Amino acid sequence: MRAASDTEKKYYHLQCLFQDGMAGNAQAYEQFLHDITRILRRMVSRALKGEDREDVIQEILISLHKARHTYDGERPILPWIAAIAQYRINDYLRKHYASARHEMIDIEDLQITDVTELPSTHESLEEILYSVPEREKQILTMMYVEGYTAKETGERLNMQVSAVKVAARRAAQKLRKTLRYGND
Amino acid sequence: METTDLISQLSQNGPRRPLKSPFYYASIICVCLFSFGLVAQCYLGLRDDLALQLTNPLYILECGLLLALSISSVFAALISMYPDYYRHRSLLPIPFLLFVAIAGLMAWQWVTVPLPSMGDITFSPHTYECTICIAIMAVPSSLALFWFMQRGASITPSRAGAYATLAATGMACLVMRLEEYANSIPHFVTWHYLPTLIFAAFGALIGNKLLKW
Repeated sequence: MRAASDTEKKYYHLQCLFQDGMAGNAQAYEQFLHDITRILRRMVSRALKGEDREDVIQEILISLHKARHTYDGERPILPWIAAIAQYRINDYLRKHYASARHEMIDIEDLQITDVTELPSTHESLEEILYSVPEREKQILTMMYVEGYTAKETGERLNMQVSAVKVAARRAAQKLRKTLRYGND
Repeated sequence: METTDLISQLSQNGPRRPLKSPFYYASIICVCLFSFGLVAQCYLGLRDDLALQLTNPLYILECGLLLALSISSVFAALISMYPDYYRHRSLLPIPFLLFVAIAGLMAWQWVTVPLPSMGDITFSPHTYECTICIAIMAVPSSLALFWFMQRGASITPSRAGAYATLAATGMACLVMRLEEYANSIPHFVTWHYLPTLIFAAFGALIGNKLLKW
């Protein structure tokens, strides 16, 4: 006979916790809810992005609790959990897209900006590149314009790969700052 | 609220008695549904030529399919009460397949030469009265099914609603078929089976409202 895998053991353990919980053991039920929260987190983060994930997880937990009488402990527990979780995720997505479609935006709330005004006073990226030291400028040009890898850049400039990466990151940060706030 | 707080709050709520097997409930509901059908049949009576019709295999097949449609819809509706379909998802398409079989049987009877026992296949003494009768019989049993199904936690409420309505209308159609002295295929299609489909669609809409949780 095939030995039960870790996953099977884990789900069997969950099933036992649920059954104990339904027999009146509040601690076992609490442990069950804690354990499935981890599974739910993985499921929800695969399906949703954004800040509402924790809210959806809580919705699912409430739904599982409300529907706990539909599980008798005899069948595999994961399909039951997954079905309810998927139902709530779909419900959330349906509401989310419906509200996004009908969202009213007041014209006064819009921050209308002059689209003819450039966000930066710099005429070209070339000019911005002058704001970083020569070595860093060279690294940026090689890596992002000429398409060399960090390793190839390091070989050509006689630098270690890690040093190239650090210099590139520092230069990129400087550029971002210059683009956002100017040279001041 | 933090998830950990929610969990401790939920765990204090106490256990709830689990539902029994859907097959157990479905058996009880089938008995109730067909008892109601029997009462309706006693009230409406049987068609005069029933003995002759029972020699017609197509008539027996149609009645058998209606019976099977009703029973399988009860089972499908009850299975839909459970989020994981009680691990019997494969039973769910059966009512729809049976309905398609009935439609196929109607079409086949229409295009092929009718059997002598069928009589005049274009004759029908009434029209919309049949639909009203079916609706009168189906509404209370559908509502009773919806009421019972609210105990569950269906993840497909509209489909569950359609099954509940199909179960009730299937039974009503069977009663009508045993009572009505008519053999008109266009009549059955227009005033029996098309309304059944419309009732099922209506049931899906109601199910979406009543069976949401």
